[in-house]
Amino acid sequence: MSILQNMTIKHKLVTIAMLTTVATLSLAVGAYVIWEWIDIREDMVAKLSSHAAVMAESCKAALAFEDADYAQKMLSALSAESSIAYACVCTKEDRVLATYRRDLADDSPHAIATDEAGVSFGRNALNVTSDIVLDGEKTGTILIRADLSELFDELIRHLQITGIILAPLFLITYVLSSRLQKIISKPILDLANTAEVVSKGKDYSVRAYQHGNDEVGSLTKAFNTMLEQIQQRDSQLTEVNENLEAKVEERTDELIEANRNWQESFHSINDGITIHDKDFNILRANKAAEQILNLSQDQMVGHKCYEVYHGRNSALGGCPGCKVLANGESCGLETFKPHLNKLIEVKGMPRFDENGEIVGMVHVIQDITERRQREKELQKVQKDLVQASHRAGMAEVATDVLHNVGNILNSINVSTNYIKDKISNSKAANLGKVMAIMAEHSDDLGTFFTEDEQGKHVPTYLTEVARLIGEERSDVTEKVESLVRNIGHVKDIVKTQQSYARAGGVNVSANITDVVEDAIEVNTAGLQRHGVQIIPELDELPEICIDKQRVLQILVNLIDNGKYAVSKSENQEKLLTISCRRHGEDRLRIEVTDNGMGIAQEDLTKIFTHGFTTKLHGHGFGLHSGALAAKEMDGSLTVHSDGPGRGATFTLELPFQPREATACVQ
Amino acid sequence: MLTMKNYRLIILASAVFVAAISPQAQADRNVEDGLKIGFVYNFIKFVDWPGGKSSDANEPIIVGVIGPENLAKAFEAIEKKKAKNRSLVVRRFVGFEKLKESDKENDAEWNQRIESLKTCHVLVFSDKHRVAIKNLEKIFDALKGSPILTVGDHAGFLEQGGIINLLKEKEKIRFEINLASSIRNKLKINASLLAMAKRVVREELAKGDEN
Repeated sequence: MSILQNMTIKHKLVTIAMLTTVATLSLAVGAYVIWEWIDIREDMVAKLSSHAAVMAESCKAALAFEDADYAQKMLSALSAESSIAYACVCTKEDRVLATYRRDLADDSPHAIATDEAGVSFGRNALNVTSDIVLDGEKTGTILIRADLSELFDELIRHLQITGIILAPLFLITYVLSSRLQKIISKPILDLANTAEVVSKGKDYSVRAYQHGNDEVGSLTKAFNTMLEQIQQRDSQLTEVNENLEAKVEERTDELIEANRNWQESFHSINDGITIHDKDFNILRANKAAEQILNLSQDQMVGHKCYEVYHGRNSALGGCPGCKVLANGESCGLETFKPHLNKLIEVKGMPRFDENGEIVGMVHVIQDITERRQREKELQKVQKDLVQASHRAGMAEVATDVLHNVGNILNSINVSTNYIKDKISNSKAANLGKVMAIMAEHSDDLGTFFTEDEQGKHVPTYLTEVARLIGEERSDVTEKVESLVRNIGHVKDIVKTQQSYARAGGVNVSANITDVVEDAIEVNTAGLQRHGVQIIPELDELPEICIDKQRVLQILVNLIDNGKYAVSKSENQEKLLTISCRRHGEDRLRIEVTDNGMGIAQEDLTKIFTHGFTTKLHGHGFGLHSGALAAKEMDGSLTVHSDGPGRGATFTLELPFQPREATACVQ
Repeated sequence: MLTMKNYRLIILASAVFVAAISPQAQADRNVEDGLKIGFVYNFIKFVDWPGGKSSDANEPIIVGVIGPENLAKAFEAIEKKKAKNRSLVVRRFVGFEKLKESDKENDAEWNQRIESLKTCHVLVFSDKHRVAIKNLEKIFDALKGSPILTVGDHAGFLEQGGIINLLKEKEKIRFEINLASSIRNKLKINASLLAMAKRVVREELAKGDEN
């Protein structure tokens, strides 16, 4: 069947027609021949059986008397039947009594009749055996054998004739089917050709020719409709495809670009990066990693990270990388590589897939040798700077102190000159004259006082002198007391200065109110000069642990700035409010608020930067160092202003206890 | 025919002679007897007796033997067999030789004997007992019309009135049939038996015709 299936339709149709015809005719012929054969055979059997019956009857006596000659004679009658080739009469003991042979030359052995009477077909022969019964008793058998070759000859002749008749029939069938198959095959072949043209050329504009309205016609119609749809779809698809291609190209370019960017970024990052899988294999390494570790790509990629990083043959138990892979937590490690003479910082970070599973890790490595060096230098510079600022702050404080001391000295000078004037202009000097006059009149003092014109005025004069001297004394005493006070003040100032100078950089337990008051005190002279009214609003606060000197510096600076701001203001009333309040649980806020010139919005951000100043002779250091100091003390320094001419508020926030201070000096 | 008959007689005579003088001949004789008995048995099958006579299936077919005792004894073998689906009975009849001396006196006895012969279906006459030809003819005359198959084994048996005569030819037993006698005795002989017969006598033979 598969052979038939791979044939062309044309051949299939012809083959089917031929097969059908040949099969039917052959069957008919076969049936006829078989029927004929059976018929002939039956005829033969009937004929032979009747012969056998006759012979059995005829030979009955011959057999009974075992008269072979007579039996022979009887059998010879069979010569009338040309198909009988052989016959024999056998006794019941299977002894051959008489035989008959058509062909005398036939010397085939005597056939013995079988026990069974009946008909049997041998090779080219039909054997009919019949019992010879005499008086109800089997006395022998007779066998008659017919030669079937004639029968076969006849059969073959039949077949030949049939063949001769059938051959032209088959030819006619072939010719007819060959011609007629086109009716069916032509439309199908046309359709197939069209389909092939379409499939080969991808040309969906081709249409199949419809031959008729039968099933193939419907098929052709459906095919054409399908082609139309395909054509339509194809054009749509082509369009979509083109768009898609363009899009893909675009995306590919983007991807390439992205990849290139990634690659560039990866390799241009100054930090060395190595990407690892779960088994410590290095998958990628960037150029910085090559430089830092002084290894080529080949020496890293594909190698185990512990080989590359630690020169080991196996992962060190409990190594940071292992922990990264086990816990998914990042880690860091600084390690000095003697062979590179580098201090290297290695950071390990886990890599996760979309399910959050750890798939490996990333190492970010930095050569921190130089950085450490720079950090050290920076620390030194900072230290120097802090010292410098400290010194600068100290100088500023000292200036203020000296200024104050100068003021006080001035006051002392005034007091001293006053005392000097008082003493030099003292009425006591006139006492000598009075005393001299009294000495002249020592003999008659009474008279002198009562009589003498001059003398009479002496007591009055003395009373007046005594009153004046008493006044002078109280004046001088007052001035001297002021002098003593001023000197004590100077002494205090010096002592304060000494105490701050000594306490620099040390946390001490102090009352913040005192410090604020000290700061005001330091600025007193300047404040008074500029007619600034100080409004202290100081709450009672517990003793806190602060770097007194730094806080004082900051506050002095803030008060000084406030003084400057109000002095430059056109406000008649120059107010500087200084408040100190608890802020939250363990912090405090000191606010210095002025109603001065205010700060422009744009300056608010710059105000703490080094070198920024609005003062004519300012060095832009005070607020910067103040902010730094506040930060170092775990506090902050901030500013607020509603704008130019609207004043400003500086807020210093400090903790009661700085984080790093372990102990406070009492 | 004469020479032939003589020749046959010579053979028979010599055979008898040989048989008389040699034990081998005696043995051959027994074989020959056997063959004859077989022939007689087969004849029964090929001969049809008329309906009236003993056609009853229950009645046995009676084979009468007129001859030596040993032959009669040998014949008894067929009593074990059946023919025409009937049993066979062998009877020996004696005393027919004596009849030749006193024919007249023994008329009554003769008739009695003939009547007893008439009970038989088959009568076998053995030549060796030298039954007088005249007596035989007389017997056949007496039996004329009776449906009895007479079988003999000597030349001239048919002429004497017998129906089937067995004879030896080239060491083979053959037979000849007197069809006329059989018709006279109302017996129907199968055609194939007739076809097989060496000679079939169809006309009434003149008595002493050939002697």
